Amino acid sequence: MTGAARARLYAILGLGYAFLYLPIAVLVVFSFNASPLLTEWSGFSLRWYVALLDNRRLVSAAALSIAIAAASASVATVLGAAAGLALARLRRFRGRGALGGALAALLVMPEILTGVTLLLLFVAAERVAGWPAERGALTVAIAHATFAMAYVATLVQARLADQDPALEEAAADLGARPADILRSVTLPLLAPALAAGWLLAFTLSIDDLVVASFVSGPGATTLPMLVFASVRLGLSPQVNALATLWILAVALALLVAVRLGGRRHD
Amino acid sequence: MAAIQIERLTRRHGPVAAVDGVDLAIGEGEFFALVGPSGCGKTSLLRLIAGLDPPDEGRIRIGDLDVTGAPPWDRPVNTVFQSYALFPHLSAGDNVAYGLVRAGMPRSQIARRVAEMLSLVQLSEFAGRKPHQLSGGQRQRVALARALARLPRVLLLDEPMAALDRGLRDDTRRQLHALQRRLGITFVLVTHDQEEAFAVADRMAVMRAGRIVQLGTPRAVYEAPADRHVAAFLGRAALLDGVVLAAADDGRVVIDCGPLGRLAGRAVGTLALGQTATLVLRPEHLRLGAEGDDHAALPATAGHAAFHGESVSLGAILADGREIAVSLAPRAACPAPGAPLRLAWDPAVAPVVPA
Amino acid sequence: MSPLWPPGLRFLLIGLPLAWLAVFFALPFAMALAISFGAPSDGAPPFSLDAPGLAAWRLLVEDPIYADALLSSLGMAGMATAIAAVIGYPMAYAIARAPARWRGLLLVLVMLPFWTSFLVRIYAWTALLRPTGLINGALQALGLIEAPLQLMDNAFAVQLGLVYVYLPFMVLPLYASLEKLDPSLEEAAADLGARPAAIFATVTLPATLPGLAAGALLMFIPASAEFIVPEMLGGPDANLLGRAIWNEFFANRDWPAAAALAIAIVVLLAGPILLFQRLEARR
Repeated sequence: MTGAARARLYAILGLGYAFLYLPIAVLVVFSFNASPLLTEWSGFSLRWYVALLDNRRLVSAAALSIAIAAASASVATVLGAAAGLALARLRRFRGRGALGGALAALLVMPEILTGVTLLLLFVAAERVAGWPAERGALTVAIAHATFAMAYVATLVQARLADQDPALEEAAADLGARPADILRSVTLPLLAPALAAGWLLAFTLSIDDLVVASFVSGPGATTLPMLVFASVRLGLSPQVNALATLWILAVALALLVAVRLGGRRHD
Repeated sequence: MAAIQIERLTRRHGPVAAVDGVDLAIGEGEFFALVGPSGCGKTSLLRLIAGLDPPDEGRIRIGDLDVTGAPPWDRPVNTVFQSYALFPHLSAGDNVAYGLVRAGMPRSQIARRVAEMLSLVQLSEFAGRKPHQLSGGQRQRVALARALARLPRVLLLDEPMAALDRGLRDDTRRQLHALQRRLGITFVLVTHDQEEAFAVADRMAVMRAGRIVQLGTPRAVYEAPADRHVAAFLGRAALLDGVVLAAADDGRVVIDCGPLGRLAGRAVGTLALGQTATLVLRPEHLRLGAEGDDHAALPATAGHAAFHGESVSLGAILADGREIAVSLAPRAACPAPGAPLRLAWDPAVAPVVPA
Repeated sequence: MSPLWPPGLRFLLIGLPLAWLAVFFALPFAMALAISFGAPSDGAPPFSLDAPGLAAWRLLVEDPIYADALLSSLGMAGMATAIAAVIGYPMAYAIARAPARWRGLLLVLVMLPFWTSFLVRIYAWTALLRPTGLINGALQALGLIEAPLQLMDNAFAVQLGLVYVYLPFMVLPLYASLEKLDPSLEEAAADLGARPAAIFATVTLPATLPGLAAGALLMFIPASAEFIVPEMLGGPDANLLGRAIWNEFFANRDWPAAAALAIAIVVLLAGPILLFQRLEARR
């Protein structure tokens, strides 16, 4: 590659990052603006952060979203790990095509389709079986676990593909039984992928508006649903402050993840 | 009593038999090698012995224990894997301890055994290192120590030197051989490198298409290959094909090699008149210019001479255009390219094998 | 069967996710198919299956608004995917050829926006694009324009939003396939007389086609029924599939029509989805 070609390439890369980060940067900067307007800077202020914490509905929606995200991420991690293990380590089995195909379809399925069809299921199930009695946190968590497990399975499968399959055979050869192999070899090797998968599932859940709008009930308004209701009406400086906190949290989580990933050099 | 007794063992992958009705007995304390080209079934056979794959037919006994259906964790066998398969999240010491923990050995005893094993492979200072902090040769030795730590009845080694540099391989071979003699444990080595088998094994089996085609000491196999394929696999030999013309009681046989004329060698097994057979001429069999037996000599033209340090390998071009190698002493006079040659051999040492 | 994975463990690893997916992924679509033959009613839930019929499907075929939404959705998603490929390919290439110690950071920088709220990032664009937004404000302050430009509530804004939110989905698979590509292949092509354009066309692009296809499908399929982007940036007139479902459901309360529309979209996307499954299975 010539120097000029390399320079052009890096220029495009720089512009790409500028495109990705410009809107985020604007949000962060204006979250500290004293004025609610975006066109003028009228001085540094933390008033939107204070308003945010005073907003009782917002705080309770955030608490609900965090609870749903934690629960659905945990379920998605268990299901995704099982699916990823099956696909990566069990060579031939009945249902392999169905499992791999369903997970791939879930990865690309437009959220609105997942949302609307799941709602129809929950409504029909309530009518036929009386369960779930009402829609709310539980149905949202089930829906989120469903689409997030596809991401976890992908991460687990990729991680296992990088690991020597003889490791588990070596453990068996050295006297470990299947459950012991899983606990002492497979799971430690999967730990980074499971941690990343849980975090990803958590973020996907806490960020989801569309699916939750369908499958949630009147008593359970998640954070994105509340944010959506307020930004639909126009600019909302509190959302800027919320977004800034959110980005900070994600950046911290990623930093921890990279640290963890970097420490286990295998 | 045999350390391993295998009867009619078969393992199929779909329609193909990776291991096809193998019968084999390996003695107590023997260093045994399974050799053959890739895909011949040697690793499949090793995996059946280790219990990593179940056989479709046949039986495996280890000592007086029938282990045919036993899972790997219940077999008195341990394996050095080709990739070494060291647990990346455990230190070298914990890797060695892994099998001892599974065996329920008390902690203090484990510590002692791990130290013993690491010192056996000269890695005492490396107990705390993770596999990625070790060199290829060190990793191989950790894998060896880990597999030996449980004092198995049989140690299986799957191409343990394939990933090592050439220079390191010679040393490692010698150490492996010394270790086996010292411990007296039965070793079964799988390798595609016949020199490796020659260097360490008491006996070897040559495999092809899932079957054992020849079994014997390295010397016996080398000097009397069972057929043309075995001869081709073992060493750089020129293989001259012909039809048996005459066979004497003392083993001397003459074959008609068409344009190359009538050539003599020593029959391996019984060869019938009119049967196709192959004369195996190894570089060290051939001498230049010697007088004598007319059927044990070929005219040739000198080609390129390659200097190997301990010897010189001279290419000699035969009448039919093919080039065969002649091994010369490094200081021997080397004929100029194009010079006419007479290649001679002792018919009592050059094997003639069934095609 | 390998002894390492005894039947009980296999049953658990396969059965658990498969059962979950059967109940919460396959069954919902079967349910939607059934309900698409129902009729809207005033009860709760607002549909009835007492007299199954094709009313919802007839509506889909007869009212041109749905065909219109379909065409514009596929067109917008296709165009946005093409633009993202043109931007994403050189980005992925630059990252794959950057010094090894920078690659991790550069990749994290691509992924970071994906990990932050989708909704909030699209909202950020409204702050930039609206008539009283930052871009118009800046242009006016510089005296370049007198009246604000119409930057949002149009097709341009929807495509910009789609490219923006889905760009990481394009870059990641492209990076994965470019990183696997041995740079000496390109050097060999150059050594054999190929110029940069020819090297790209004959070596780089063919080798990374699976990554490009994966990225394109990973973006195109969800983008074609995207809801948030047209809702926030497309203006009231943007008639796209994601919005059509939402409106049938929440505004018209016509659940059978929404269900029929969902089934129709899945059937239409079946080709790309199957292609994506094949790419994933080969990986």
